[in-house]
Amino acid sequence: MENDAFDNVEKLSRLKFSENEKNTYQKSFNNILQYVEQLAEINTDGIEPLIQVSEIYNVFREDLPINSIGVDAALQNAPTKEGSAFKVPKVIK
Amino acid sequence: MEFEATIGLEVHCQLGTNTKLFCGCTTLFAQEPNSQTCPVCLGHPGTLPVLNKKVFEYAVKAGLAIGCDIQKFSKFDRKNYYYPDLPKAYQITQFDKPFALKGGIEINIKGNKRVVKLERIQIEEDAGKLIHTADGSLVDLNRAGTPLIEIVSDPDMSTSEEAYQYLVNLKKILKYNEVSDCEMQEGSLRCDANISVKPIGQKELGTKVEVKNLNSFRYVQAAIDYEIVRQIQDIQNGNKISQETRLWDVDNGVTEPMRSKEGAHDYRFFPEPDLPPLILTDKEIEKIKSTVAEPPLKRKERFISELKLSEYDASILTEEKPIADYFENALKEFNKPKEIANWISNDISSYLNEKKIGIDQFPVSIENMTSLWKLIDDGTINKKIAKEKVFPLLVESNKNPSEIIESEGLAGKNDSDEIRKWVEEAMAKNQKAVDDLKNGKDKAKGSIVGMVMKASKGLANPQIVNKIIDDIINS
Repeated sequence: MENDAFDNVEKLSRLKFSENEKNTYQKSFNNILQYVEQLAEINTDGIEPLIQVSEIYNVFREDLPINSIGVDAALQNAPTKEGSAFKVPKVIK
Repeated sequence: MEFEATIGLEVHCQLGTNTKLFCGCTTLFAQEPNSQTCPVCLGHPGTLPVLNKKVFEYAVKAGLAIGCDIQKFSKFDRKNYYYPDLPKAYQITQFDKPFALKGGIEINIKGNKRVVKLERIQIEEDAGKLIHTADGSLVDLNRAGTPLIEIVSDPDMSTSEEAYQYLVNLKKILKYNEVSDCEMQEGSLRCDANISVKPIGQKELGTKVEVKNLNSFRYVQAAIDYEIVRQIQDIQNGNKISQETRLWDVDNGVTEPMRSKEGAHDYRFFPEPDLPPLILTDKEIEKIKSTVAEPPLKRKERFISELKLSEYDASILTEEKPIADYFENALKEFNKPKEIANWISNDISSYLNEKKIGIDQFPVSIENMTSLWKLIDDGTINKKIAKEKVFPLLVESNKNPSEIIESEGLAGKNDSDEIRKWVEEAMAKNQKAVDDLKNGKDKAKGSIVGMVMKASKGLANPQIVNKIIDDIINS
């Protein structure tokens, strides 16, 4: 993986690495990618892409209400809240 | 240089199910924030989504009503992005295998009918709602996981008028098929517009701009008109159109660039491993097809061609399905389409508007309503009395109109001798009108008829009154 691609993953993941960490993780990343790359050696001409391995289809539930857990329970892990809402740092300036 | 615009629309429509797409939380509007949530729609780790069967049925029904090719195989995918209204940090949607492709919506611009083509319809979950305050953003996840279909048109329109009609007709189809209430104020129907301009005749499309925050069809129309002018001016001023998302500013009637929430979109779609793919058989598709409503435009044309109604009457009657249904059910009992159309578009509509209710809550049964029309038709009661006196009592009580007429003494007077007496009295009091009538001034008849109606408390049969006046004048 090139530097640019690694930087992009860092950005998309909302992570910030030091130069040292970056070297370590980039190496690990490349190892993982090379490992998976081996799959590319297999000839897959004419084979449909695999979407799932379970061979299960059409799992439904009926349109019936099940009690929600309530505002208190919903918010109990929130680091900050206001009224009945979660509160997060401002996303629009 | 002359320019032409290319417009495509993305419509998000909330399906009218009781519960969310992947969990049993209710989808009621305007509830206490976060009161309709559970570990699934809160995006807690370890939870699993399970598809609401009704969502799939409604979605397929909508697809069939829009003339799409329903796909026998479809699947869900994850669209990944970080934003506080999306607790899982991915939206479950359909990417490369949506359940419906193609289809189209008919429009009619000044008599030119054509079909605006669709690209696809996909099922996806809604995000939550953010309220921005001075020192933070508040997150309400009641809406997170609400079932939507996104209806994506081809870039197949070139004017705001076409876009407006497309939306009106699309909404009508969705409402006719009872898959959504389509309430724009409540966010059940939302629209984004993709707009670009290019020199006329150029094959390649111009750079497209996406406009969001269009809360009414009129805003869509206004925003498109604004964007077309803005983009053409920009190009003529030697600028390049940048591919961006803009927001419609209702107060100022302009579009403004949206401050972007992240860099270039990189959604990293991949198949949703927690949801098995969907397979439909021909038989299942046929079964849903049998529940699809007759298209509103077809119904309108049928009313015009088969029932000889005017374009205007047919439009009013087919505006909403319950009205068209009421009309056709009434027609089975009383086969005078024009008469029924008049009653529905005047008296009944006024009553419904006044009470702010739909025709499904109209208190008079079809049986009683058509009885009244029959009593007018056979001369038992005057139309004027029926409208002014009987109808108000009918909507109050939904009693048999014959009973109302009887107990209120409103039956029309059809006795010629009695009416002749009134006519003679009226003529005696109004010699000028009699002279005018004898001199061929037919208009003078009105004043005599008016006096007779007054004397008979409006109950004299106007046809008989007219006939007797003619007899006397011509004798």
